[in-house]
Amino acid sequence: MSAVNISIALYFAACVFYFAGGIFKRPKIVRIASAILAGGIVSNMVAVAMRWYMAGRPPLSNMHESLVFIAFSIALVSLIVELKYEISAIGAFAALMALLALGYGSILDTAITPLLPALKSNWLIIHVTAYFIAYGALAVATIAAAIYLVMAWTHFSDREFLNSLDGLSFRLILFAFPFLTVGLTTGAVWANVAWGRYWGWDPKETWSLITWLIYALYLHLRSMRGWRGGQTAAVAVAGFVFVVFTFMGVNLLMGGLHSYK
Amino acid sequence: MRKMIRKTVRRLWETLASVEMAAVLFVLIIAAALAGVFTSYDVYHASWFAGLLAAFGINLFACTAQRISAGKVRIGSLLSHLGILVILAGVIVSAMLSERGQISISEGETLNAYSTGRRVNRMPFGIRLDDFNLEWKNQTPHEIEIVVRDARVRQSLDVDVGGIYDIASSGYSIEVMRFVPDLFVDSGMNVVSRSDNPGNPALLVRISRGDKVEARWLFARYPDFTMERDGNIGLAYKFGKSPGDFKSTVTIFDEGKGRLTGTIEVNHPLKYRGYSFYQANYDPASLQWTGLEVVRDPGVHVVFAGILLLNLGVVIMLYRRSVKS
Repeated sequence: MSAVNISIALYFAACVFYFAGGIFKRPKIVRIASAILAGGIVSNMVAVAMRWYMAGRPPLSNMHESLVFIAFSIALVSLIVELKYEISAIGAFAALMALLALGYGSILDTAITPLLPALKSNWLIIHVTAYFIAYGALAVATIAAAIYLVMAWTHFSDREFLNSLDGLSFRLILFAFPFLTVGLTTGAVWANVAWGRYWGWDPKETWSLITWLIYALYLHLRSMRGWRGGQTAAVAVAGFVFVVFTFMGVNLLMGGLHSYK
Repeated sequence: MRKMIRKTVRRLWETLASVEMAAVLFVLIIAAALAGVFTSYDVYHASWFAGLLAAFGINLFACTAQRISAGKVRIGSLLSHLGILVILAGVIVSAMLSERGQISISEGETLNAYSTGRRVNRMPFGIRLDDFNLEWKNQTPHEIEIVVRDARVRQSLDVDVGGIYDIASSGYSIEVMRFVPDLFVDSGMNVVSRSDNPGNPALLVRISRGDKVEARWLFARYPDFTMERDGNIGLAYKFGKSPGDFKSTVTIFDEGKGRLTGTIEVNHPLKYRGYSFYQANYDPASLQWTGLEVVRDPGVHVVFAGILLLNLGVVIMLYRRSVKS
């Protein structure tokens, strides 16, 4: 059984335990879920490391490899957030998201192929890693924002809990934004090295700029206009739609220079 | 009268510097960028889009200036906003001063001009191609994928014309008889090649198993056709090598002297006196020439300085926030 399959099984189990713990209000079951999630993260890390070793290059070059990495990133951010802020409602959905990413990744072409000439660069690691840290944090921020929206919509009254979700979502976006900026700008620097221009309105470039602008807008609405709660949560969720499209939709639907499948 | 002008100017300035203005511009730019993605209209090079970006720059400048004069600005925020302004300035420099074009250069040849597509620009020095080197991922341009149903074999082979290949544990052997780059059947029903270009690459193979021998044409353009024809063995032909690494070794001649010898490959441009040479293309047939992209863009340095400021700014912002909380 491959490390990827073990991670899939563990993320699935973690997801079930989180939901069970949440529904029956048993903190003990939630703790078991966290432990299982940690196991999933370890085996996910092993999967990334083994592939790195086997391919002899960073495993960040096609959809399969990216999804394995992003699943790791989401699960890790979720576990850190849970331990630090003691909000366990996030874990169930983060485990589910990691599970979906890995599950989809494992049905794609898993063959190890030599790197395209344009990808052979040290910029690959910094550009892609910055993005994946950002995407992991944004995924968890979006889960918090979405839970906020659903709870506010159903007139859930625990103000304190809602506020902590709102604050958490904001802090994660604040954390992700510098990484998003590093990812976007190192992309421009690398494009200048590889293609002789720092910006060319390639679909991936355009979508990632739009995504960056939306989160910049989020931060400004929050700090300059005092938006809070449902208003910013809606922007956060909308922003993540753009993240998903930038990450996957562009490759699958639009082509261009970044269409590594 | 003067009072009124002053009042109007102030009001205009306040509008320009407002967050509302920024939010509106954010939304407009996002909408325009989306329109560019989903329609065939070239939004990004339209003058109104440049105007939108300019308005964004002015708003950002006004905003930042106002906050500095109000003494409300923090260092991280200031650096990141200055960074964006510097990037926008660099983009303007690029748009006004950058030149780019292509050269196709053969081994041993020295060129001192490049084509932008519309005109030929001279360079203040010459560039000579000493050597072009290409490493292929596969050994030959002919790859056959073989499926044998009864032996449950699926295999890929790099083949050469004249070679005979045994298919592992299936009893089949395949002899590659002939290669035709641009197959065409003439009025006398003879197989001819229309040209030397790979318009319709085809391979004639002889498949034998025991005493059964069969000749078959494989077409790279119609791989499924040959896969379906036979019940037991299917062959799909892929023509063309995929390039691994390709590099051009060049020497720059300035004022009659060889000044610099270097190797250009993907991700490794060569720079000299403000010109950058990128590996862009090559002659796939004879490997006699290389295609280089020539770029002279003084805006790049400005943009990169802005990128540095922006990154520094956002990192400081994050750090200050995390220290505070």
